[in-house]
Amino acid sequence: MLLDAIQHGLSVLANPLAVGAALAGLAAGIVVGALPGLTATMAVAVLAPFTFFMDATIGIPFLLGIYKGAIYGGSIPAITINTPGTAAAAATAIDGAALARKGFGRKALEMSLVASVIADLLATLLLIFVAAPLASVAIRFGSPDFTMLYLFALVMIAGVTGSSAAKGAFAVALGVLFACVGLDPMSGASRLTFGVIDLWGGISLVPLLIGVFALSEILIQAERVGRQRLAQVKVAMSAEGVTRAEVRAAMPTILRSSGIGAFLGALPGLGAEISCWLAYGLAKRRSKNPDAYGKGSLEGVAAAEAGNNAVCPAALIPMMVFGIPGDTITAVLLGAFMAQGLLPGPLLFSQHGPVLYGFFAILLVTNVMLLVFGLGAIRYLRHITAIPPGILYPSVIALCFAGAFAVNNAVFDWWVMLGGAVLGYAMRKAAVPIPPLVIAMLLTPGLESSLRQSLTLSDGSLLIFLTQPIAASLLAIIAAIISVITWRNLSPPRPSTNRQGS
Amino acid sequence: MPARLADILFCLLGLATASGALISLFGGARGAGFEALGDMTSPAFFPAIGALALMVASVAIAIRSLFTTGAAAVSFSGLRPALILLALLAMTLMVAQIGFLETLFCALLILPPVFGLRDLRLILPTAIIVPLAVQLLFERLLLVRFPQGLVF
Repeated sequence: MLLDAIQHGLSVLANPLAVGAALAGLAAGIVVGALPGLTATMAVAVLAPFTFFMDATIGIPFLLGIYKGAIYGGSIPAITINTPGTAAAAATAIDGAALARKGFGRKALEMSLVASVIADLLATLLLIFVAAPLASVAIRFGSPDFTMLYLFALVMIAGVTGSSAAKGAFAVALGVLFACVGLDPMSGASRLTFGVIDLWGGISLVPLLIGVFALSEILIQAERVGRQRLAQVKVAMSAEGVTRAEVRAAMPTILRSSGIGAFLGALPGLGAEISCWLAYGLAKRRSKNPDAYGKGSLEGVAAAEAGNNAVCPAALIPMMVFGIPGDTITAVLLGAFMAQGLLPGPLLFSQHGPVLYGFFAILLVTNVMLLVFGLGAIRYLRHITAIPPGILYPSVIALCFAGAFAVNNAVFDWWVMLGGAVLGYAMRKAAVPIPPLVIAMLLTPGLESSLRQSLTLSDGSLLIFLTQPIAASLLAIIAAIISVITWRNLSPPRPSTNRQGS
Repeated sequence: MPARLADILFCLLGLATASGALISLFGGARGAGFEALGDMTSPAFFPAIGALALMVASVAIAIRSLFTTGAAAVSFSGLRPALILLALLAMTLMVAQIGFLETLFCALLILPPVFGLRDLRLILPTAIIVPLAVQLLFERLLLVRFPQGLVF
């Protein structure tokens, strides 16, 4: 069975359209990632509507390519202009830009590419070998277990994302409310629609995501126009590139950072933005030469890049196996999977195993191609940062409008997008994290239906969550997490210095 | 704007949203099972829990903010974002009347100066090429039917 699925997966590689879509996505992702101000989430959200018109075997590889490409692409401006293209490349900028200023820009760019490819490859192999066995375990989960699993994910996301748990909880609660808008799937009762017929089907996810992630980011960037000058460091391609000895010396750091990235990627709420800093910090602590960090250390570049790139494939594990997205990009991917009729969860592997292994094969191919495309990007995309914001952002706005409409061919979706833009902007300003809102919106329908199923099974008794071993264990973990978060939040707060968008 | 004020504004926004949701669930909504709000299998149960959680989180934000000292102020250079929001609002209102292509053309003429670009040699070609490219891509390739306009 598994061998058949793997064999079918490999046969996807013979489909030029699937491979072509993945490579096109990879190239598009690198370009978007290399543009400061355009994030990986924005790229996936804006381009996701394209895939709804494609077959799943073409559309999903396209999005996976964008995801990988954008995370890597963010390192290019981080090194050349000391401005991370994506938040995940923030740690790369420290040593990458320092190396570029010293004339070792090419070395830094190539080391970031090599570390990205190795980390991505290792995490993809982990995904291939862990996801299917985990799904066979997850298939034994009952509705009480799933209720607690969804609850665990929501508590984690509320607790670890953003500057305070209260703000995380605010975003989660808002996401739960948004997800409840529309007709109740079990009784057909209308909830929170306020008489608006367009809301009967619920708040359309993709237009909201486009507003919350893409348009609100543009509003934030608009504030910065004219305030920041991007000073490009000349990276001479005739300069010496990274050597095998340097890669070999950085290999322990790359492997360790890949492990950190893969582990954090598999947990809900902790994306590449956090992983890059943890990997960088640990690499510095374990380094024989920690003083070089921050002044131009190749190891530092390798640690940060391996840390953020290993997250991408690993974040697909909880998304595919449990239907729980690890970060905002996998949340958008989850929406794309559902739009394609691939319902993430334990049954995904038994129902669509061959298609999934096809995606895995594509992920491996894009790994190899990331090396080829990355070398090209290093050579040519260094100049992409010269595109004026006055051309870039209005063009993205045009794409946002087209993408939001394309999902349902509904004018109402533009209003949803606009509302999302205002909400996203306000949340960024008030340092309320956006990922919990989106992830809660995605998890709430599953949580609600599994809770109802559990209570129907137990004739309304909550004891069912204590008598089932998996559910009871998860409940204990949830209680422990809530206790830790409450304890941490009750201690005197530190001055906040990390307001998004300020 | 002081961070504390921003937090309190957000708290009020959360309380208003949650109250609106609860009022809608208790008073205005019709449907099976809404009367039994305490029943966990009722369709009203989950939205009610969400609204209550929102209220608690909003109050927690306000309380925490009162005890936080030295938080960085929220900087607003609001003119550009306000202009862009106005442009987006106008686009949404106009698009059904004058058409998608025409709206994008207008938007791409108006928005670049907001982002600091005033070179017409760059703005004009962009305003023509980008809408056409988007229209061709979505209408011809993906068969999306955008609102038809005055000219196209």
